[in-house]
Amino acid sequence: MKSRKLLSLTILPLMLLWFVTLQEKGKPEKNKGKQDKKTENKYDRDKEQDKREKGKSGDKYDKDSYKGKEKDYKNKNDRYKGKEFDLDKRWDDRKWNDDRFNGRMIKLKDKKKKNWVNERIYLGVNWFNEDDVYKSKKPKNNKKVNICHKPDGSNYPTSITVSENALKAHLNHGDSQGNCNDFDRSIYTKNYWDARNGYYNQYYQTTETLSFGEQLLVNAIDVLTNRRSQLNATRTTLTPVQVQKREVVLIDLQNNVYDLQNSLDNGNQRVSSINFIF
Amino acid sequence: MLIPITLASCSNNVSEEEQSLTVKMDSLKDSVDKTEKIVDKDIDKVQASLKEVDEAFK
Repeated sequence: MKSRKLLSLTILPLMLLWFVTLQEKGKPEKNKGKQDKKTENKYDRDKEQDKREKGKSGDKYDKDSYKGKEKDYKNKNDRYKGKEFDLDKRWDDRKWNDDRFNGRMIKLKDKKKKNWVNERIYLGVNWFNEDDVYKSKKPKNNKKVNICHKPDGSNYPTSITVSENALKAHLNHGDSQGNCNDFDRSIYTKNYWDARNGYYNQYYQTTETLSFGEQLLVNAIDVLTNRRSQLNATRTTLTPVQVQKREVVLIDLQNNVYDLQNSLDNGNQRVSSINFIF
Repeated sequence: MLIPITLASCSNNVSEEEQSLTVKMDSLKDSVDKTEKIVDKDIDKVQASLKEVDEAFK
């Protein structure tokens, strides 16, 4: 009994030592595997890098591999021509589809129009002098008035011409009607003052057009909604030709409203990104 | 090339600052003008479509 106990006391630590040694031996093996894999990956990456650099340097083999494929690339580019901005932008087949119409209306109505010029500059301005908005002249064709505009942050006012409809909005933000009183312009030459005046005139003409467009957009979205309801209500009483005619004009209007919304969005981004004070 | 430019600048008494501001204003004017033309075209299209809708639903 004693000898068995003694034996177990001697063998057990030995077994433990052997086990630990085995573990220690296994570790480098494992790491070595990883290391090898890393080296392999690095080697592959280097090979790829070499390939790319060969291509860049105009290697003859790589050049030849593209021979005959130029047409494919050209066709691929042609396919996407004009569709880069938004593939769902235009509804070209003009075949009516309720779901498609509704989906596009949601996109039109949900568009965020905060910080567009109507809210920033022309709050309360009404551009439509006619009952039918499509008959209303754009601001640049309206009657004009002279105002003395005081750009925020500048010491110098500038006399500009704006649409009569926009006069109140300008008066509300501190401008005055009529030309500005003259001031000492000796700091710059006439060229500078002319360029400055030209810039402010164009800036406000552009923002007036954007504002008109924004109000037209809201109106056109309402027309789309109302006329679509009218079409649904009267569909059974109309001939197929009459129905189709109405569907087509609604699709065309929706396409054009989409385009207007996109150009207004881009235009607003453009004018609001100008932060120079002259 | 530098000498004639410098001479021209001196003879016109236009500071570099003024030149740079004038170029900037002209460039911004052209840019907002382009923006307006694009929107203007889309406004025309929408007004024409609104007229068509109005006529088709009469």
